[in-house]
Amino acid sequence: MKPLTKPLIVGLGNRWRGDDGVGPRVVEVIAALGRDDVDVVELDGETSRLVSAWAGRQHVVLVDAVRAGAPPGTIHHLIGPDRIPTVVGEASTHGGGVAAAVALSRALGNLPVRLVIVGVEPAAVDHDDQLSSAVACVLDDVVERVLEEVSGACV
Amino acid sequence: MTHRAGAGRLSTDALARVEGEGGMHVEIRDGRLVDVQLRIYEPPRFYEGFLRGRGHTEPPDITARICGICPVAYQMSACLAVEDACGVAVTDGIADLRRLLYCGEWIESHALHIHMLHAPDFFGVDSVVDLVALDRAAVERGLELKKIGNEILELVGGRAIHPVNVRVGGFYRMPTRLELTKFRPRLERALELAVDVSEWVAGFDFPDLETEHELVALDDGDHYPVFGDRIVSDRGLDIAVDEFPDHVEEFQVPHSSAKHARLLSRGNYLVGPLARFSLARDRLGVVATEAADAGGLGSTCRNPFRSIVVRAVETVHACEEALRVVDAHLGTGPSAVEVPPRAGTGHGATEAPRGLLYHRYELDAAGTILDADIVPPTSQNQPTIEHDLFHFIEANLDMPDAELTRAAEVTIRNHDPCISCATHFLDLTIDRDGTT
Repeated sequence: MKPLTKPLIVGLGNRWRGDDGVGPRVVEVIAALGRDDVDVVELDGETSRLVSAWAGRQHVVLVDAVRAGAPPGTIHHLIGPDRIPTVVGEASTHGGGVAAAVALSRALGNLPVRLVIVGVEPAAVDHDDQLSSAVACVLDDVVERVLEEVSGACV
Repeated sequence: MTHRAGAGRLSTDALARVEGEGGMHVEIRDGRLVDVQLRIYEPPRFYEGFLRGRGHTEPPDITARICGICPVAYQMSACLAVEDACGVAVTDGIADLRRLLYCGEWIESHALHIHMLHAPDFFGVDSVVDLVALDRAAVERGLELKKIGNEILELVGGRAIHPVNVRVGGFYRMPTRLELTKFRPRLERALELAVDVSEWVAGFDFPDLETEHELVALDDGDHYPVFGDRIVSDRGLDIAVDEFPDHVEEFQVPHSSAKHARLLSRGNYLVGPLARFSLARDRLGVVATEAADAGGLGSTCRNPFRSIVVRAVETVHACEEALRVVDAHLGTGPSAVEVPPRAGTGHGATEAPRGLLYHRYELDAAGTILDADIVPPTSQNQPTIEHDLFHFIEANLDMPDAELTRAAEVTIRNHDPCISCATHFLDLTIDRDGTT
């Protein structure tokens, strides 16, 4: 069993759907840093995979494309599971997945103590293996925000 | 809200708990049911189009992207079709490892459908979240079982979603005997969980309903269908996989962006768990056979509601098969055979969790794909699902709209359609004399 005390960073999305690939690309950058104080995983947003991935974790950061009507590239930092079902359910490209995962996890009593979304407003989620320039420009900022979050710098 | 008296339209704009997005339209005129349409409005994805011009080694990775739930099925059918075109057969060791990978997908997909999508219908609740309040242990067991399916995909396929270790001719890397041996306790655990799941679902209440359609599955002459060189039915169809295009007609309907399929001069047919079980019950593993007996399944099963029991029995079988492969795996031999290109056409079919998945590729001498054809199980089952829906709704026109809508959705979920594969949500509209 891998220790579950480490924060888990989940990159949500599909690399072949333009800016929906921002989550996977962020965790790819973080994984390449070779840090042993965090775990990273790339997921597609399917409900049970999400619940299984974060079960037993205290601190989980979801990195995802989040559509909230802000200018493309805007970083959304959503803290706490109570915000996630209402905000993300409508806004995330994996809306049902994340919201349903939070609901299922809450029913099962295994919701992480701190569940955070670092979201990026997408410009386009069409068939494309590249990020838009608006999202590509903020990739480093998103990585930095996620690392601040897992280091406890964000409250 | 419109009610009865023969007038109205029932409309579900987004069908819940199915893989993908689609809608259902029901039209009633003068108290008589005139039309039922499964509307797949997800835009067409043009996979067959953009496979043209790609290399013969690319279909496993490209077609795996058609579905996040059954990527292995796409990879396997693609590999078999390309290898057939190139006249290459893989070693028994590679074939066994493919079977192990496929067992992982069956376990994961069946555990998902049984617990997250189908079981809530038998408890009269809307979702697995509500089911937790009624049977928390069952939901936890389902999630654990599904996770072990994922782990098989990670072990053999390199990762759970869209595995990266599969290539035409076999695998990039063969897992070692030690890796598989170390994983054995997880499979033993999965088998234990799967047997408990089959006991659980066997206790549900099932309405009496028998599908009348021809049941079609693969046949390799030996194993419970996963792979196979022949396609057989309960009504005497017995053809080679490469004869599929001669016997199956794909056609388009105005209300759906997914193609439909029917057997030429035979009509609608059904692929999937009911067909596999009814054609090959005697090939199930020992524990799966016991589970089928204990679950009250006869020599065949034509009740779509009971497909949840068949899926559970197939999950037991997949765990047994996975254990068999792990015990037999020596970790020696090549991880792949070379597949030099040649001009020709190849056909491949495997049993995705939802049923038979057919691929055909036409290659030129350099291996460039000239033409591709992919027929997923949901396309083949769609006319049959519509037919069953028509008869169900016709027999229950007096039911209040909300109840009828719910029951119709259950009728669809029985078949675990993967709408994403077929071309995502299902909408339901019931039109009673032009009124919504």
